[in-house]
Amino acid sequence: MSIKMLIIILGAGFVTYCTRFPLILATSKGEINPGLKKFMSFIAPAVLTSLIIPAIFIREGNIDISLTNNYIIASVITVITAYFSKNMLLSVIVGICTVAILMFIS
Amino acid sequence: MELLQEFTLKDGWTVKDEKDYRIFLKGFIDTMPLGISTLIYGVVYGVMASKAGLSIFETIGMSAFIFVGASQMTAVQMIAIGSSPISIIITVLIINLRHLLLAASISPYLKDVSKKMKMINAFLMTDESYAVTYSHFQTNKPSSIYFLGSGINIYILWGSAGVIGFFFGNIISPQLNYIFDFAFVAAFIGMIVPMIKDFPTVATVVTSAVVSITGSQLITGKWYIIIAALLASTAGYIVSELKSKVEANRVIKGGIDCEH
Repeated sequence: MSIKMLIIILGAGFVTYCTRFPLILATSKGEINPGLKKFMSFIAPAVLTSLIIPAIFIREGNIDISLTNNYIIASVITVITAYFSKNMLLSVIVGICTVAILMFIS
Repeated sequence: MELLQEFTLKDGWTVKDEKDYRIFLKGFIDTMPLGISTLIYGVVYGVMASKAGLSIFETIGMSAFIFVGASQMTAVQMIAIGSSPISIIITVLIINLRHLLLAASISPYLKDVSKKMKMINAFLMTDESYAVTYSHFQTNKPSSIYFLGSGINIYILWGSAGVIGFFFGNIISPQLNYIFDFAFVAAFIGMIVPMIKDFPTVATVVTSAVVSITGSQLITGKWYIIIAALLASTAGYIVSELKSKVEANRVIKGGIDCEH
């Protein structure tokens, strides 16, 4: 295991634990500011989106918005699958199959 | 009795009597339906980890020490695109802030529990074990042992799923990488789409998309992920505040109309 990976695993593990234990220990006052609560509810979609959008649209360092970019069409089909099925595994399978089909027909 | 001795944890915490053991088991079994979905999700994580070039020990290590699905997948993706450890750790911290909410809402139920047990419960707390335990506490006597059983279930299933996924990912030939690299995009789409329930979330996702794609071209390194995450959450927050103000105004106006 490289030093870099060790830092990532232990560091990420440590900060994650820091989000879990303080409020469990503080039993009586379990209240969180409603504004902060609302703000936090948007964090997950925000982070996850910022990870995949560049992965879809950036090919070899440049923005590629064209029909030759198979990931765009596959993403649209995956979004539709996820919307109707609410099932992650099915979305992954449909997505991968779409990329495979697009690759072979082009 | 033999079974009971097996449940003696290394740090000296023991299951005191058979009743505790039953409560533990009940927590474990009640969590099974969510455990199975965790298993499936964990296999996807394992495939992603092997595709990103992690070793089996690193794949297990993440599950053992971080133990959060979305964070591990995020970390793996950031490793694959060459992010610095510090930006990965900060991103993981930001995603996991929602744990504060879970911890805050469950802590009043754990009032009479020892500090050590609370620390263990905190370590094993996930969205899944929280959901099962919290709903159990609504109609039953709160028990940290139930919470422990629930947490252990997810810990074991999540850990083993990662290993299964890792070996499955390894047998996929490198020629098919272009196809299987899409697995993580699809997995994230599968997580994001069910979260989009209202207009403020749409605003969040759109802001994040625009900022991340521009940021990735303009900003060196992978800091655009953190910048996009913070700007987009702020945008979602502002839109939802505006939305509730507009709705409040409408109620007031409606009230006046009724008087006439």
